Amino acid sequence: MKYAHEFVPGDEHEPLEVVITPEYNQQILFSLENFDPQYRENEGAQPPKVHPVLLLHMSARTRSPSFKLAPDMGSIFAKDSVEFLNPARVGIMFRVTWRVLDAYEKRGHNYQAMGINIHDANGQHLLRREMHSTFFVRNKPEVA
Amino acid sequence: MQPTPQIRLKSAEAGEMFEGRPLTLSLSRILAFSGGPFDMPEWPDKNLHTDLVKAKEAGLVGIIGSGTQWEGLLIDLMVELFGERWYGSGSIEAKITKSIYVGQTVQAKASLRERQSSPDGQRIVLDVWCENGDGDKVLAGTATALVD
Repeated sequence: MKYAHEFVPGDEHEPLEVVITPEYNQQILFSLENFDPQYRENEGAQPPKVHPVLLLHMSARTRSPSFKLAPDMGSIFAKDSVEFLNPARVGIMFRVTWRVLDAYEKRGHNYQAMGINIHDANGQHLLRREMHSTFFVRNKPEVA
Repeated sequence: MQPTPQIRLKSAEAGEMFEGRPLTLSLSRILAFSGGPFDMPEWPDKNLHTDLVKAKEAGLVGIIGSGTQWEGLLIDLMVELFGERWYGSGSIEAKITKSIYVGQTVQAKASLRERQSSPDGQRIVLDVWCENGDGDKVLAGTATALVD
């Protein structure tokens, strides 16, 4: 299996299927000190919303079951473009997919652009994201 | 009575500022965000946001918060401003510009840049950022969403 920095455009990491529990959603609410009822209570027949930051948290490429860094290699997030298309709901499975869009060099550093999508079990497109990351040798981080 | 942020945004002019709640990134809140679900075996997950050894291996002097955590604070501010519309039309383009160590404070802020017409309605573009307690930017970018 390839290390993450060896991925080329078109390569895909293994998808992740996630169900957010009420407890985990509330744990993330605690981390943000946000106790908005829309994330804790049903909305009509719908379960509570998943806090949107969990879609970002679960779509980091390190969440892929196949993501693997080479020994002594680290990776740091550089920039991010994200579109929220529909809310995720507590207890409803969603699936995250990752595909390398570009691999490029900038100022002597290697970068990857990753296209990320999340769809739920009802077929709704929840999130579209393009995330750029750079790789570095451990103990010599290039970015704080 | 003060108008809600959502009502203020509708009539705001370019340059008008909006601020979210400041949050101190205590170790408890960082672990809750970056350690994985409390009920997973061997919680917390070991990474540079939860484990001093991992942080030092990455060349850091201590545990840092995940930039995604304060992106969450920015999302909270956007939900305050755009309401339900945020979930179906919100977007953020951002860079994490600085790290935050345990115990430091962070606050999301926004300033109205422009209003754009689109086939789906009016789209508001905001300059957005998060600041630490010293006023240094730890995230910077733009955010947009449709308004009714």
